[in-house]
Amino acid sequence: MRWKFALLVFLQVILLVGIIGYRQYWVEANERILLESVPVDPRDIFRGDYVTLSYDISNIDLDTLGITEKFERNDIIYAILKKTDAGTYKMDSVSKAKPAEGKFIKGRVTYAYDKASRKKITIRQGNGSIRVFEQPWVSYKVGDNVLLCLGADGSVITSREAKENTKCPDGEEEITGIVQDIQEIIFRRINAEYGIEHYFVEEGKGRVIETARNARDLKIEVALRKDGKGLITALYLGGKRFE
Amino acid sequence: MSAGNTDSAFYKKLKKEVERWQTEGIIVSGQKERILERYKRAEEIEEKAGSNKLITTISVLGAILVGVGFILFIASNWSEIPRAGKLGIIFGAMLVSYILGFYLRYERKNYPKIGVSLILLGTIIFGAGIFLIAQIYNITVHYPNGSLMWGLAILPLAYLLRFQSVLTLALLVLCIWLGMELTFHIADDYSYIKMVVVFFMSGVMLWWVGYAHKGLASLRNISAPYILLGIIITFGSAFILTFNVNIEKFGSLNLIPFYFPIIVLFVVAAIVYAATGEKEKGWQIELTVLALMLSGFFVLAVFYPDTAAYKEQSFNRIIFNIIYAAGIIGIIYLGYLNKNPAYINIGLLFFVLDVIARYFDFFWKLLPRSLFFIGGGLILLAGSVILERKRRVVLQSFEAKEEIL
Repeated sequence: MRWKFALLVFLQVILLVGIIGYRQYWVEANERILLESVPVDPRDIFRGDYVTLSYDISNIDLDTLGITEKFERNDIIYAILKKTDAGTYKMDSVSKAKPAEGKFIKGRVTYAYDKASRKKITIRQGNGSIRVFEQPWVSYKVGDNVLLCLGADGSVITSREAKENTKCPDGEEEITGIVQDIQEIIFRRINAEYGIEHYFVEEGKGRVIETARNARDLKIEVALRKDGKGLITALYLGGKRFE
Repeated sequence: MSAGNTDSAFYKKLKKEVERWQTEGIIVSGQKERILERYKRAEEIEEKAGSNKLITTISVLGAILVGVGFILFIASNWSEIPRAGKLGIIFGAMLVSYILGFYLRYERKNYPKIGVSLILLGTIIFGAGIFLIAQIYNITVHYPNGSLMWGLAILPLAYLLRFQSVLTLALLVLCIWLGMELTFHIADDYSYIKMVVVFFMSGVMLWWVGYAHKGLASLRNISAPYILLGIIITFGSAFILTFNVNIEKFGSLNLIPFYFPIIVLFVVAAIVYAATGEKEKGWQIELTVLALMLSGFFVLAVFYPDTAAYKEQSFNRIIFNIIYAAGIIGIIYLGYLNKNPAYINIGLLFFVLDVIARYFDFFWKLLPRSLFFIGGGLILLAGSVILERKRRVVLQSFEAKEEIL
């Protein structure tokens, strides 16, 4: 009895150590790549014990990519990655078939929308120039005077009616103007997850990460296996590494 | 077994038995007193220090509280503890509670109940360890695996030590795993009725796996968690199906990897039970009905998942309600037949739930709110009086029958 009990407890210890070993082997034996991440809610990403991360491979516009393949919830997918000039990886394409070569990350479809919609808005700025932006949804109508806050890549992060004292946070470009036109674009979209959506934050470190967040330079280091499975190894925020 | 370790329930039974032995002339009067004297200490201890059951309940609750506190401690002191420290705490706490528990239960034997609870605490810390390690290393790959590993790894311990508490924990954890894993196999969003059907089938399977344990003498004392959990899951799932849920599909081909193992386990359990010696009364009917329900749901789920989909208030709902009501009568009858109060109590519980649910279904729109609540309250009060009286009569008749036999 005593030895059988000891054996079973020992096996439990081995299992726990095994999880750690499995992770260490994964990290050591595979190449690590950097993915640019978008915080899910840019106003409040560090709530709770973990950060929810989103990537360009998380919400995929199939029509823009010219993909006709049909996707359903829980389908296994492979997001094919290509290296950018900055050294990070971005999505090139997505497929249900496993690619023969190249860098790709394996994931699962969480939602498939046949009729997702986004808005195309035309704005005339004070100096008379016309600019066009896209947003998932809008809270204003044609003729309103609006304020748009743009991220580093030129995409709209937030938008609201322009009033006195309304300003964008530091580091975001401000655009104000009168809305000329709002068009709805219907497209096919899938949401996917790859097992790299949660980064657990240690309570003390959360604040440091939060203050550095405004740099809007969030990169995630992922140990990527040959079969496409990825695991987060570190988080870079404004050039600072968090492990 | 030493005389000091027997519990008072045994002593009470023995008292009755010895009485009978004496009237039948198996023993003479002096022997009766000597036999009882030998076991009397257990009752004395209980009178002075509270019952065994009370101690078990308190120490199990203690184990659960310490386990929860342990998880919260690590979670809230996350930043102050370095990685190695966190791992040290997890492994240290787990090993200490296992070893101390084993020592108190089997080596020193002076605090057996506390020993059991400490070993249970060890299994809780082990499970917490899996999730904490996953957090420390940011491992979020297919998270249901954590629960699966926890459940499967503590199951052998439950068998080795024959602990009902550890077995109950293992089964609950595996049920949670089943729920999490199922969401990965259902293609259309959130169609939870498919999950309920799988749970119903699992409940029936667990129920009979419990019977198979009961049939085997060496496993008899860990059959209860299977049977009780099985019955509760079966009736709980069936209860959900009595509502107007027929707008959804019953199953999908994607779930065959779940249906088949459940059916195989059920069949194996049925064969094992049929082949073993002592049987419950009415087991053939019980087995037949459960086998029919299981195969019925399997056929519905795989071949006719659309039977009732997208038809409101369909015929199926009435059928489900009739089957559910018949099931309640059946389980209460079985409880009566086998003198098993647990069956009767579970049956009555689900009966009350049914009455409340149907009352809401039919009268919520028809009656003014005030009348609705007054009426409902009166029904419950009257119902509880009748149920309590009926329950007492039934339980008393068990005792009376024992006397006659």
